[in-house]
Amino acid sequence: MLLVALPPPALADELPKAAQELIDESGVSAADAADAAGWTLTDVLDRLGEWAVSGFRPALHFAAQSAGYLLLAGLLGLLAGRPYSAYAEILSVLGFGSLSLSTAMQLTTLVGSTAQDCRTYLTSFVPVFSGLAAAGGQTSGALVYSGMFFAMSGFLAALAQNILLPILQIYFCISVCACLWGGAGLSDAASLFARCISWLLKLCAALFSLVLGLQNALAATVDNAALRTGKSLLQGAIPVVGDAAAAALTGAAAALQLLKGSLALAALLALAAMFVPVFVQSMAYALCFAAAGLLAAAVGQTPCARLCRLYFEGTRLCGSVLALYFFITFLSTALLLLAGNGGFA
Amino acid sequence: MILLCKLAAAVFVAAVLILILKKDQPAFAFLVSVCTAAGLLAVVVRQLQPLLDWLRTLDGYFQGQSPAALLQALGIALVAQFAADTCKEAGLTAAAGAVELCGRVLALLQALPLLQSLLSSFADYLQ
Repeated sequence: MLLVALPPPALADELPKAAQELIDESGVSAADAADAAGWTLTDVLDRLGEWAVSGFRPALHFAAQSAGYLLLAGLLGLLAGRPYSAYAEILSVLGFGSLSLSTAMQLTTLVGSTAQDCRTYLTSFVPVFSGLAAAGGQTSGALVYSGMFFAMSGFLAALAQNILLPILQIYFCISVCACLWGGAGLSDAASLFARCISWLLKLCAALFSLVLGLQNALAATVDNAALRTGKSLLQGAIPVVGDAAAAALTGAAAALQLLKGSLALAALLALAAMFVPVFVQSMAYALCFAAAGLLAAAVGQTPCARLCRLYFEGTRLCGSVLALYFFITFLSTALLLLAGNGGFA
Repeated sequence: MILLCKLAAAVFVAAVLILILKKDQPAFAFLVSVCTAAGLLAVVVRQLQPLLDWLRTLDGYFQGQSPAALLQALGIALVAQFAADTCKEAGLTAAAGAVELCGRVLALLQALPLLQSLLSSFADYLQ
């Protein structure tokens, strides 16, 4: 409480060496930060437009390739006639399968690396944020954030990289085989993999939301009670200036809450900047596969149409993995931000 | 449209010639039939040549050799179908069946490089 009431002044003229190395690695300089401070609404909209374009460009390139290939395959299937149209179908599935598989694998790798980058970002953000929360009187909340949430985010990133995304890659490979050989068994196997991933995602979301929400709610109650007790003690125990000391404590905690809020907002925006382009890309790919499926069905390429439907499901699941990770991170940070009111009530 | 009318006229003339020759000179009738079909195919291929050249320029745009494999399979299908029909017209049903089988096998062989690249992709991704 004395530290909150009388914070030590910051005497350092420059950043610590480790912090400076982190900033140098990021490629962002002080000039960039100064430029960012001068952004207008037009600059922000331009930046959002760049994100959208970077998300859509690979998907549009793939869409153009798929459309061209499917139209060519459909045309040649018509020209070949029976029974050679069946062989043209096999060739078109092989070619389109190779094209789609490489795209889907790139997407899963990108999702895995985004989750890992987020985890790396949290490694530096969580200690700072939880330290600030603890200084603002949210000791239990800071402990939950730096302990439970941090461990869960690491577990989720490891789960995504080691289990969810490999299962998704197996799903994509089995989908191509199912469309090539046309048997019901492989199609059922692919559907089973998709259902397993969907079930795992729902379980993780429910479990983590329940545990984190409960922990944060309990921690918030404890912190509020502790702060109110501290204020009451100050008012009761210290004669004459007890009220002033309690008011000073409230003011200091409020200032730290404001700083904490700004930091949380900046972190959420930074995480959104990491996630949004990749999420937009995965949804764009899902749309491309849906459109390619319609085109394939229109030109009579039934196996390719089936492949597109299966890949549409797969890319949606990729987006769901990202959304889950971002949701858990956002929920925990927002809960810690909103739950701590410094005992003002 | 004019080309189609010319082709239709040529086919009509060939049909009349074949009907005249069929009774007395069946071998020549068969030759006229085969030459007419081959000529029509050659005209169609010449018409498709600019499209095929354009498709070859797009090879680099598409990944791998898939469009080239599709075009080769189409060529195999057309030639095999022509050869089988010619054999059937000459009354050689067994030869027609053998030619059709050759066509199917060769068309499937076009899929072999694509299948190999797909399987190697599986092996790379799943390792």
